[in-house]
Amino acid sequence: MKAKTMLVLLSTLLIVEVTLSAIPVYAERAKFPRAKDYLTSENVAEPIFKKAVLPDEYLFPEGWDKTADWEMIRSRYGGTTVKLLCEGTDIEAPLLFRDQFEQISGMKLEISGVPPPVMFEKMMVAFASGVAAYDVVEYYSVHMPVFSQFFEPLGSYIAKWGYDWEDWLPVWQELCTYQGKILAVPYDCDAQFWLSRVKFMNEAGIARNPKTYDEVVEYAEKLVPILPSGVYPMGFMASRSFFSWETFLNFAAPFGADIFKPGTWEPAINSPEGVNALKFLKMLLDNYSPPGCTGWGYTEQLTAWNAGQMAMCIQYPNQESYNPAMAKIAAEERWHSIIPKGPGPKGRYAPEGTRTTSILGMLRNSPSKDAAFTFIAFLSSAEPSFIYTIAGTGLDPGRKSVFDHPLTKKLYPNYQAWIDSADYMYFTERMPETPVLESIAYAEIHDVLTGKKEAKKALDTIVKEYRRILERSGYYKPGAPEPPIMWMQDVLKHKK
Amino acid sequence: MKERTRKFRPIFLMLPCVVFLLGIIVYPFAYNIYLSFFYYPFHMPWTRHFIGGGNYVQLFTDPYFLGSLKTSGILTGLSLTVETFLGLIIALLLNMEFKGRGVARMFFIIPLASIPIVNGYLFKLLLFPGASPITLLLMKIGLVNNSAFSWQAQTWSAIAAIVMADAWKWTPFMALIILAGLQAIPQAPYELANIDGASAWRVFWRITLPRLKFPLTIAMLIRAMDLLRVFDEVFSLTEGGPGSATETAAFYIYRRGFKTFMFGFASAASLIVWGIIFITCFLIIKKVFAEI
Repeated sequence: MKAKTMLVLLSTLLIVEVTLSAIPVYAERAKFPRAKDYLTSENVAEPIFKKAVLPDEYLFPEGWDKTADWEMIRSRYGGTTVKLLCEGTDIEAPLLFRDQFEQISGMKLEISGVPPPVMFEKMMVAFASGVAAYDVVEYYSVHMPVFSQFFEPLGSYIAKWGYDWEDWLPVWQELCTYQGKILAVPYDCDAQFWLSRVKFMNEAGIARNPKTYDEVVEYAEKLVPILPSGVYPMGFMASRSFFSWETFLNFAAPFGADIFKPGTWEPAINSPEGVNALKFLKMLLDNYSPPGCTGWGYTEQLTAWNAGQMAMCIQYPNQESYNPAMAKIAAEERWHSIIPKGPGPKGRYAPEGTRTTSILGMLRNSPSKDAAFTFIAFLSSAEPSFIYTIAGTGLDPGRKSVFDHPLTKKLYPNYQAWIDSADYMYFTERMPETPVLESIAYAEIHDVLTGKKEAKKALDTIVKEYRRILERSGYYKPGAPEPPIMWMQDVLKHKK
Repeated sequence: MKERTRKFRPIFLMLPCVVFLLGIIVYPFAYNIYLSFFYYPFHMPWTRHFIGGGNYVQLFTDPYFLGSLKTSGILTGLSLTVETFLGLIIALLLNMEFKGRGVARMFFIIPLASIPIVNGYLFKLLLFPGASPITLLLMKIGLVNNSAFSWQAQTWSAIAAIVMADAWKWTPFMALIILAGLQAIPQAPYELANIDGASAWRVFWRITLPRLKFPLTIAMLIRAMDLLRVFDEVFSLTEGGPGSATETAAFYIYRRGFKTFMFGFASAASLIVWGIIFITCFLIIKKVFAEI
């Protein structure tokens, strides 16, 4: 009897102790997302973490996540399940905030991820067949013209919930708008930069990132003799998918080429600048890149970069490469800068990379639209945006307030590259025909990069096919949509 | 009344099966034919319209489609040769009497149970540049000189990778069919050949192989039909690359149908491929059964 009583007592004490020990941890975390709660030495590399001390206060006290009426939200939508479908590689960010969101809102969150290479087709089939049982979807802004038929315009929700839409940089507002309607909220504001590993650059006697593509070749020649075996001067995403098209545009646009002749729907990528850019890219792949580059998508190239196989590359901001759990080179210093300019008088700064900018939209058939919008607003608020950027989840910021914050400049290695690039971005075509056009384009580009075709012939084929498709779709008839402005500098001139 | 019921009973009993077959085979096939005459981008359904044979004309002038048919042919020829040759050797070995033959037979058919797409990703890992045990093995025998050799970067190695993955999975199938054929051969001709003092090669060439003609043909026919439609290994290993060097007909149809959602176009392409497979198989079966 005594032994039994002792056993019961001990068990009770153990349970109480475990429960009590959990509470202090829970009580220490702030009510709303706070940078200090999420950014630790475990998910931020030491070279970055030591650059600044995170304060106890909220970094963005006026953010929507802090100022929303959560009592009202909880009372109205508590118990509602919000389902998010997101890009598989970006799933870490919503998972990071799931517990806190559920605690604040009383809602339940279900998150599903889709691998990026098959995102478009999986979503298209799900949406068109009507089986998509999601409320919020993260998708690429380039697919907005195709998906617009399935998504709810958000203008009224932005007004109703007092969302700080104007805090987003103009380029991201532009990418979330189609035919005058706001169809999504910016989320992962992708762009691509030129990255270099400083230790190799210094060893080769190079003092900064290349500003022109001529310097890229010059630096590659200096790097070749000093790089260890298995490390190459550079590497790019060049797989037979939209990645090779995107990479090509990072050369073509800076060389002075345009997808369409400005102000028209006339395909023009086969200009001398376009041909030279494609030949130049092939030359870099053949002479200075690891074998197998032509099979690299985002995951493969990131893996190679994180494993230290290249000295330079074009990549997304790549904050996750500073995460010790994800990269061998996490502790290395790197330079981040705008994509180099092309040669000659038509050479310009025109980085691409917005093709994979992802945005958060709300499906028309969502049964709980207001609940879904509160989640969209929460996840895209300033402090979560800052947190998932610095934590290396792979998502990147696009808010003015985040860029203006002094801590961003200290903790975000891409800060300056971002600021330099924002007004020079070059856009891929955004139209309902984009999936077909891209499919033709990347197949031809990849044939050139793998030596199966000549650059001029491939680009001529792209132009011919583009014209055929646009003609069939009525772009050369009266009443056709306005031709797009593809370069941010032209957008800014137009707005003046 | 009873007479009428008895007369119609077979029809009623067969009706569920017929409805099922109509639903999952006949209707989709007929709809596929119907779609092939339309310009039909799935993501822009409002632009759908009848274009007659337009898709077919475009296909027969599309170098990528014609190239994919050629690639399918090459992969079929190579894989079939490797699988038949290896399958025959394995079947002959498994037909011999030795201790543990039952266990050996069991182990040999394990690859057959693997899921094709998983098989493809498995070989993608096995061939990963810089960490490939297969590349290391080839380096040891001097066929490759760099451990970072990328199998997906050259046409010949990309095709070899697909053939390797496919052969690893399907050689046991060939071996099983051939083994069944071997076991059906009567012993009398072998005993007579033994009495006459015929060599092993002569016995194989004059007795075994002729009697394996029918099972071999059936096995090769089944594999050829599968190989002409190969998709999983291409998708997982090479995604049709480098360039379009390993883009098979099935992958081409997938790309057109599910990357660009041009359903009418993909339907026409799938019908052409079906037609090629059907005619080829029909001619072979007709010849084989005529000889029997």
